[in-house]
Amino acid sequence: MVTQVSSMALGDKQQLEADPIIVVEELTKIFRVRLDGDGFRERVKLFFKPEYRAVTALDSVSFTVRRGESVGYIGLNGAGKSTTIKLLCGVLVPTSGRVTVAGIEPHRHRKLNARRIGLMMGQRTQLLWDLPVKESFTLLGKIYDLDPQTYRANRDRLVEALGIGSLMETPARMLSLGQRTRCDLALTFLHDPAVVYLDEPTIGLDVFARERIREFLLAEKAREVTIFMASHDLDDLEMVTDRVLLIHQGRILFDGTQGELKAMFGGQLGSLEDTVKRFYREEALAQEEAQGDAHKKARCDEARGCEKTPGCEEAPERREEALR
Amino acid sequence: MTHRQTSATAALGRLNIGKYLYYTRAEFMRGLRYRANYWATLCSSVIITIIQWSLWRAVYSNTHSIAGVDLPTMMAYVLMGRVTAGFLAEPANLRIGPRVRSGTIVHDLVKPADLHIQLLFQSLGGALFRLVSTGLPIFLVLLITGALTIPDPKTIALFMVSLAMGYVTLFSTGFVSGVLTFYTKSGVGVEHLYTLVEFLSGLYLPLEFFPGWLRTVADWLPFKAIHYIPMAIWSGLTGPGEVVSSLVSQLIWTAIMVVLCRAIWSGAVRHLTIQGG
Repeated sequence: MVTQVSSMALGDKQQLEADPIIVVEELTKIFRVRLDGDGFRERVKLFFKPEYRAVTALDSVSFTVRRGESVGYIGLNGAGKSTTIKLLCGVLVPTSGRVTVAGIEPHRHRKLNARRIGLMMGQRTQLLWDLPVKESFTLLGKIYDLDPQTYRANRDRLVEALGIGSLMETPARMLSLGQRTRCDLALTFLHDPAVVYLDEPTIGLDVFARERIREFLLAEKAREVTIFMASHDLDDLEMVTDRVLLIHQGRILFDGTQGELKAMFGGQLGSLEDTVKRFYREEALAQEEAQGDAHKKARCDEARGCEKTPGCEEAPERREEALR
Repeated sequence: MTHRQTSATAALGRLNIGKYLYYTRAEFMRGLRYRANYWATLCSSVIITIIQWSLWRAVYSNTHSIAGVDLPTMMAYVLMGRVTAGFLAEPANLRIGPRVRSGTIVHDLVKPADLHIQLLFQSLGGALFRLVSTGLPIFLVLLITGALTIPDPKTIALFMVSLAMGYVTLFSTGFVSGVLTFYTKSGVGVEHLYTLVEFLSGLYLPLEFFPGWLRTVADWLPFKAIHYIPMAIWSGLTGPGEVVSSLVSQLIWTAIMVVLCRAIWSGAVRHLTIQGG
């Protein structure tokens, strides 16, 4: 079930084509994974003669993000979210297809691209672990060659917006997760990036900390920063992003506004979370049915008469159950 | 191919060394945080210095010269070795493998900075901290007690140049083995080789004491550029007529090691960006 919603208003579409900042065309990333082997003999054999298997992390993914837009990236663990972000950052080279961010291919101009983007990974801090938080700001200000006025103005704005003024003298290792996340976010926006990639920015945070971060992101969004945010917290995405991309097993299943996603199920589901859950269940069932069809058909033929085969009547009930 | 060349030239052109000094500063400050670690290091350094001093006096008690090296030269070599031991200590945190496994390498790669140069300057911060905090007090005590004497200014200047190159070679050795941890998926094997590197660098004994075959091995390896060449210049083990050729050979080794670092690092980056680690 691949759903490409193309009901976008014509005006929006023209605007999108007029000012795209991220353009991803048929992007595919295949990793080569070394086989470990089953059992002793196999492992010994593979030690001397390694074998590999290809794993497709991204399969011909295409989408466009326009300047100032904020896009939510939804996918189950291992769906290809982080791989996409790494490709957009230039840290991975595409196997095939093309990525351009602000007119350049990130992996060919990694350092140039680095000046224009910010990356925040909720699970990996970029703070100097043993030093007071302010030292991380000083260092990054220098690394991005910010002139002193810009540096000071940006730092003061971010410190104020995220309420981290009182943490500046504290060594990063003594911060709570919520405090650390806020400091990491401030560092991500320090050099006025045109695009910010957020990978699970609110992971492990309490409700108040999440609320504060959402408010901050909304304020940054108003400053025309393009935000590309992968998260399992669909409430965050619902509040912050204009549009969502749903990725499943390396393929984009849905690309459109949240309203459009909800409309697919007649609008009877309230939150984005319920809608997305429903979407995945439908997708899993569709896959199961596609796989099961051939198998079931064979069984039915064998039993000479479909009515007598219990497996054939099972399907609709299971479907209902799964959707509940 | 042309693309890679142009980006390499561009990277060198943009290389702003000044900003990397902030990594040096941060690492120096990090050293200041660990007071217990500092006092422990200082104590053990003082004790090892005293042991070395008495050991070599005992060794030389019945003789004026061993392998053509007299006691004052030997003392200058060994004691200056203790003063600079912290500066030329095995650099830590150069292992790329753990950075790849923990995923922090992504942060390193999305900064407009080169990780190789960044680590060179960052490690320098730790080296300078140890030189100032541990090396300097020991040096002053050795001067006051007369255990060390200061050579002429020209020798001091040449020694400083040589010491700087020694640091770059040491860092490069650590960096190459650090990048190898990414390929071997475990740093252990490489780390155990470091004692051998220290021995071949002349940290424990000047190369004059090595048997002929080992001397030949040490001469054909870059490690003598870490420790032996600067200490031999300071102590006068390298005679005035040989200093220039000694420095030239050190410069060549240092350059080879830097080029090796660049090559292995760009190879690792290529592997990382294609294979994802």
